[in-house]
Amino acid sequence: MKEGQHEVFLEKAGIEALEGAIAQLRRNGAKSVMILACQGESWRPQTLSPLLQSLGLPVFGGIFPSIIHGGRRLSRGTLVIGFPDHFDVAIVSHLSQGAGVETQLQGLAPMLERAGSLITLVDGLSSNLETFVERLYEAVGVRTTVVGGGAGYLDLVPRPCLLSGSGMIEDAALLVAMPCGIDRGIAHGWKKLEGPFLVTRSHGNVLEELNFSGAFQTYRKLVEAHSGRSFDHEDFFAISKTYPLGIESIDGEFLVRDPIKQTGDTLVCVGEVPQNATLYLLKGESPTLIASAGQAASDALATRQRRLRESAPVGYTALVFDCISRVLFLDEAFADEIRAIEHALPGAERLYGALSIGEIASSRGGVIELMNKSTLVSLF
Amino acid sequence: MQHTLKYVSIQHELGMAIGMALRLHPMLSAFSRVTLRRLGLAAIHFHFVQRHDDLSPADGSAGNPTLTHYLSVPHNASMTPIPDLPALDGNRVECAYRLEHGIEADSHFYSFNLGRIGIITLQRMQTGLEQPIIELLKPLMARLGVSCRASLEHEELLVAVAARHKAEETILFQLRHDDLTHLPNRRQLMQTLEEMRATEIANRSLGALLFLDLDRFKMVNDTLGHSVGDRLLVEVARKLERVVGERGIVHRLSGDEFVILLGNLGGDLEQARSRVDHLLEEIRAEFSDSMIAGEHRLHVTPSTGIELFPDGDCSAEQILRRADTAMYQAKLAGLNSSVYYDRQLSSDLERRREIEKDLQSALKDTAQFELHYQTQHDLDGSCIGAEALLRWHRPGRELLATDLFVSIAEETGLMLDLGRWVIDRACEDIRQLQTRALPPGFRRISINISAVQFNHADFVETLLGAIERHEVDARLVAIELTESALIRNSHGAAAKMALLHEHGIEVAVDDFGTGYSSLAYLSQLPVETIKIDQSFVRDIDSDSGNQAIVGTIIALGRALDIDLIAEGVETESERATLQRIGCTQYQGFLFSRPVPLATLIDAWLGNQCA
Repeated sequence: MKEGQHEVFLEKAGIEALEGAIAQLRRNGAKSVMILACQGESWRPQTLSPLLQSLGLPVFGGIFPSIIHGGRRLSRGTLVIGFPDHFDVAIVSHLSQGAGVETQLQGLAPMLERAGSLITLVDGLSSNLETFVERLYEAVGVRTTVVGGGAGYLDLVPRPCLLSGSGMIEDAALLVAMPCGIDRGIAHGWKKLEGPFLVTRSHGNVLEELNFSGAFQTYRKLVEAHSGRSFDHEDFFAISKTYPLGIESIDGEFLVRDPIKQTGDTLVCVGEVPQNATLYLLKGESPTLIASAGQAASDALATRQRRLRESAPVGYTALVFDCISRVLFLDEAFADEIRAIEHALPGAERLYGALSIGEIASSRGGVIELMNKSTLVSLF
Repeated sequence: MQHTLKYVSIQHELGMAIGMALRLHPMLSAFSRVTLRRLGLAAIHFHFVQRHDDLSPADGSAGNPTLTHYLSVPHNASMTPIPDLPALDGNRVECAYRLEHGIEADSHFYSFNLGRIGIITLQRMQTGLEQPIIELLKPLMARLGVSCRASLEHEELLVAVAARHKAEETILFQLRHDDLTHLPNRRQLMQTLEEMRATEIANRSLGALLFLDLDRFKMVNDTLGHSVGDRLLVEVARKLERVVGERGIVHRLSGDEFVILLGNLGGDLEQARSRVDHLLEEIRAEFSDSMIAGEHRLHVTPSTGIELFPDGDCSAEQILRRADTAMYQAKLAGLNSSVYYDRQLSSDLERRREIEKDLQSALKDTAQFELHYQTQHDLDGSCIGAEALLRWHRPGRELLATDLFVSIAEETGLMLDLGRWVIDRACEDIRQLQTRALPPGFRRISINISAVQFNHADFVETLLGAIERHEVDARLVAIELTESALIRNSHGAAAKMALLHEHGIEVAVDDFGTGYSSLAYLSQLPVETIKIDQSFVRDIDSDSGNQAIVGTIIALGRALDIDLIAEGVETESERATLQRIGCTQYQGFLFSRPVPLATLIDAWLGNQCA
């Protein structure tokens, strides 16, 4: 454990307990604090914001459907982590309005230039998240590694979910500039089932036509044939969580898009589906998903080995953003996914993270991507 | 099939991303965002030829034009070194290369010609692009080049439209503003005043027009030059704007005349006057400090005339004229004064203003002026000289007394121009006299010189210049100065008079006894002649008081060896009395009224050529 780096897990939410935990971390030398809180703790802005605003040290974090701590997925509790370094934390607000994001990022240029890497936490239910990650890449370029995920509540109702020195906020992004480098691995494990299809009409995250036919009808025909289940008899997401869509990259990899809702003949996805993209219907199986999570961890470690030229790195921290929909798909088997990650990182001093609504990471090619149904393992 | 669909979809998506904005930068940014994502690129760089003129001709014969970096996405990728590019030969630039070292090691670069206006370079990390993708990009980049050219032409059009718009704005501005100070001009003033007058009438409220004229500004222009004068005017304009602020609008009418318009002063006359008075106090305070104009620190003050409006059916033009009249009255009250327009007091002033304006016009067309000459005689009645007297024939108006319009010319600074004309014309006339056989005792033609004129820096130069230009014998020239002209600047006067004396020009003191009458200067200055004022001469034959005064003057002249001429001699009895008490030279109606040059020659100087 690095000197001064500590963490405190609070099983039950309470402003005094949180205040005490942060005070303890400060006594131990913490100069920055990260808070990962479960939505089950019901933190409220009225009580939490005044504390966050009065801390006088950089603070960042979010409310997530679940968090990962102690090798387990937890639906209750708040994890407070102290860091011995002072991290610059900036807020980019009004993401849904889109237009002002570029200007805000331009104003942050000096901080972004200094950053070795960035942890980016966003309100996972903000619209225009793609615009944000696009503009973020335009600002930081290929030399700054970006990792992060979307905070928010599983009921998909927008409300304050990001924790910052300005209090609990929503429709925003937190940019945490870390002086050190971050090594990341990303994987999803979803496999090609049918395709390719040409996206002949779409608007943002609403997929309207595939191969010039209604998107839902095309999707329904394929999924019902493969699953033997019917959308007429079951909830849409109960079936669709097993059959996401994949936007094919030029290298043949898939950027997963989760269809969460059907409206008429259209599919509403988490994340944009560009018109003229080539799209595949994907299928998930527990073993491949679990294996992919382990692969993400292994890839992150391999990157670290190459960067630090160490054959067996030890003493690092693993921060995981794993999509909440993988839990919904894997259910009890999700514990195996955490074990797979832990298993791939024998030298990790600690491992924690959150089950996120969307994952954000620099791709191998450079651009920052907003992903669904993926596992992001970052090491620092 | 699946590769084909992939290539088609890439081509389609990138094609749709071209030309999504009219302006070049947003258009390329939008295209870059889609292309970065779709092709998994790390960066895109654009380099353009510096100017369209640099484009090589169609045959590609010209050399490689200079490329400059225009845009990179992401923005901080602009430092990425672009290797030497192949010649932009107007046809094809497609090259691929890979960097193996340095910060961008393991990057693949693909450059494409953008229709001879520049180059786009795609940067990809780790793995390169497949050849079919490179092939499909070629026609896309040609299209992008066309779009870039269209955007550039659009931007040039925008620049041209903006330039035209700006030019129109400039013309409109110039039409309504003064070039020097950029303040609204007379045209704008009259429009604003008309609108303000209508508003005040509608609101039953009062407005005020303050007409400011800088005191002694003409002297600044005449002595320090127009460049300094202009700087001073600009400084005054800024000062007035500062003081007035949001309360009103400052205009420059012409020359050193400024107008302040104040609106919405309320319906109560006393309150309105009080607000105007408050502003006047602030202006006075502001002008109490000197101003910097070039290398000079100058102190100027304004004379201000004020008219409150509306007043009956008074038009905008009348409001301005009234304030102008009040300003004139302020001038008479002394420096830095302000006066409200008063109908009863103003009629005489309006007449003076009318004369001033006529005088200004007349100085542009000097045919209205004429010199008449009144002879001077000795004891024997012989003509020994003549005094040049100015006459002004105003077209369609009555003949004005010389004293009246000369005093207006002195007050308004027009005297210098008028005086120069008098000197020039007198010298021209003297030149005519020189060509004739003048009587043996004829000594000079006297020219009246005002104090303003005499004290001006270039007076001697002007006089000697005229004498030289007309080839006049300077000994035939005398100048007549009033006592006040000498007293005001006796040190400078002495130097000038000494210089004139050296050239043989006589100096006479006019109207002696009516002014300051400091006897000291008479002994110190090179004065040749004293002219005894006609007020002492009138009825001297019966007025023992005048006899005593004139006797004293004569004694003084004798003691200082100064000649004496009595002015205004109208009767033989007066002349005889003057002779009896010792004055032997005379001028007045007894001998001759002032007459034109031709009459002078015919009647007194013998109509013969020399």
